[in-house]
Amino acid sequence: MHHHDPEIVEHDHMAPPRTFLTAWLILLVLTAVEVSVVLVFALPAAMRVTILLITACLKASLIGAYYMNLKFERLVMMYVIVIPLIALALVMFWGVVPDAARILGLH
Amino acid sequence: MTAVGAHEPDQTAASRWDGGRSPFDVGWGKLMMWLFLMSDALTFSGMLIGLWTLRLGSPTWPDRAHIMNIRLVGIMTVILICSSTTMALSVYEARRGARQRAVWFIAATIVAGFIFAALQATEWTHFIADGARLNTNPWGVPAFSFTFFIITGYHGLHVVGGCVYLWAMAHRIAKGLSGAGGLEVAGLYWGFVDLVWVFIWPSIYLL
Repeated sequence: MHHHDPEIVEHDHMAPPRTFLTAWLILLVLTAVEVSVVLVFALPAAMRVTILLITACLKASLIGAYYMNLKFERLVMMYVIVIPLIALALVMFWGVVPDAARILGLH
Repeated sequence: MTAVGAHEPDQTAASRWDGGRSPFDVGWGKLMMWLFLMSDALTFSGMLIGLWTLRLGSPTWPDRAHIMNIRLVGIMTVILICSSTTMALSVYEARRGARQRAVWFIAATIVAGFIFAALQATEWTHFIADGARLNTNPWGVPAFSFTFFIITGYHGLHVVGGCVYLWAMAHRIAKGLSGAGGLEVAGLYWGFVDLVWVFIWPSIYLL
């Protein structure tokens, strides 16, 4: 039983080079922002952490959507990949941060 | 009695998951790579969560800007971003059937990967020369150098392994042994290596 299954239709959608170059420029700008909030600007810690978290999430979304082609897959494929990772982040945050904060309080 | 499925409003959605076809509309190679990347993402998540637990629980944490060369690591980050762009372009060229151009873009990706690994090695050399070891360092927080070596080391292994993988793919594309589909799967791996660095770089160096 070694015949090609006609039911499996790979999606042939892929971004054009112009989209990759736009994504590349945005990634470079975001990296420049990351470096400058640490080395150039003296920002309050909370603001620096917020900016770095937002830029990291933006960069990860760009790479996932365009360089890893997730934007052009079936939506269910994207959910299968993205939802467990977000769930893990939330559960671990909820499970770990109170413990770490308590240890910090013991010092 | 009629079959339950007959009353389903969306027949195609039901039959999609009934078996006998790929519900995700992707080939087995791409699906398996995604499953591998998911498990790898959980491993990296575990390491980064470990780092943050140790760090939040530690009364002090050394100031990276005085110990490490943030500018050098910024250049490494830029190089990795450039490499995932050339990787995406190589997949694009392979899909168009421009095999030779695809191979050149893979070659550029491999060169960038090796430069990244070489700069990481430089970074390690300085850090070790300053007295950092896996279980101890002059800054008095053992977890600091431990998490640094384990996390950047594991990522560096992915970069070097990815260069070998891409080298093999360049050969296969040039000889016509692999098509654009195989290269796209390799591109997923390389994109992931960049994606993970997006979280490692602020966690280790910036925050």
